[in-house]
Amino acid sequence: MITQGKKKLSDSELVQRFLATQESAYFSVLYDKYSARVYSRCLSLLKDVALAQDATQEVFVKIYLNLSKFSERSQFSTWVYSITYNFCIDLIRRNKKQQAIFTDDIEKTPEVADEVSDEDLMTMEVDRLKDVLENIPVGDKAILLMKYQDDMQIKDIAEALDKTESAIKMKLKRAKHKAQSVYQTLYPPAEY
Amino acid sequence: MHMNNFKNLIEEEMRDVPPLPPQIKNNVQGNMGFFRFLGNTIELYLPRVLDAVVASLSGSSSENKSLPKTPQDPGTSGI
Repeated sequence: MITQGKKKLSDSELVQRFLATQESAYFSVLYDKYSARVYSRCLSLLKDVALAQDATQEVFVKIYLNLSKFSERSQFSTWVYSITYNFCIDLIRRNKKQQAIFTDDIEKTPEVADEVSDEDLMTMEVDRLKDVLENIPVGDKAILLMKYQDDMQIKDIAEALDKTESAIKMKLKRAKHKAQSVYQTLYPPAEY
Repeated sequence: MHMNNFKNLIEEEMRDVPPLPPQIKNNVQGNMGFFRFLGNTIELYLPRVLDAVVASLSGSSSENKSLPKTPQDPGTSGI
């Protein structure tokens, strides 16, 4: 009965009440609401069920430990996803012992003049979009998911990845180009 | 409003994703309990430890101050 009442509260109300009372039922509601979303994002980036489950657990412990720092400048979901992406990217870096996970870290990309439009990316067929995202560097994939799947602002992405906003704009631009070129390789236009 | 297949993709992935084992929630709650216990312990004992340290330091210095001055040897009192 009490949990039913708690489920009707907004995310910020749940956070405030949890911080005020330390009653774990409030955190439990947040866990129930976000665990599957966090898990699916972890799985999408880490591609390993066991790793993704461990990552989900770690992300929620991080959320618990940092809850008092949640400032309500952004939505709670945005804050949760930034912790998720940040954790997964760090994990990939540590496991692969590589710092280069973005296109512009991996290859010297020439300055890209014309921007790939958001519409071009967002209207790719779902199956093709999935293939494209599987075939671009994981950092590029994360940045595109943050921007187009989770509607994160550039400043939130910059905060999550600990980069400047201009660096993120450049990485986003290159990730879009990479996605488009992979799309053209995987699905070349039919010749008549 | 543009169509956004990134949103459709996550919905599709959410449908296909295997359910998260309940063990994960238990582990998270276990971690939360541990950190809460650690916090409470620190909150309870740290001031006492600090008090004890301060008391021992100030105690030893006041001890020095309260030591009686050794009386001057009358035999060597300026004669």
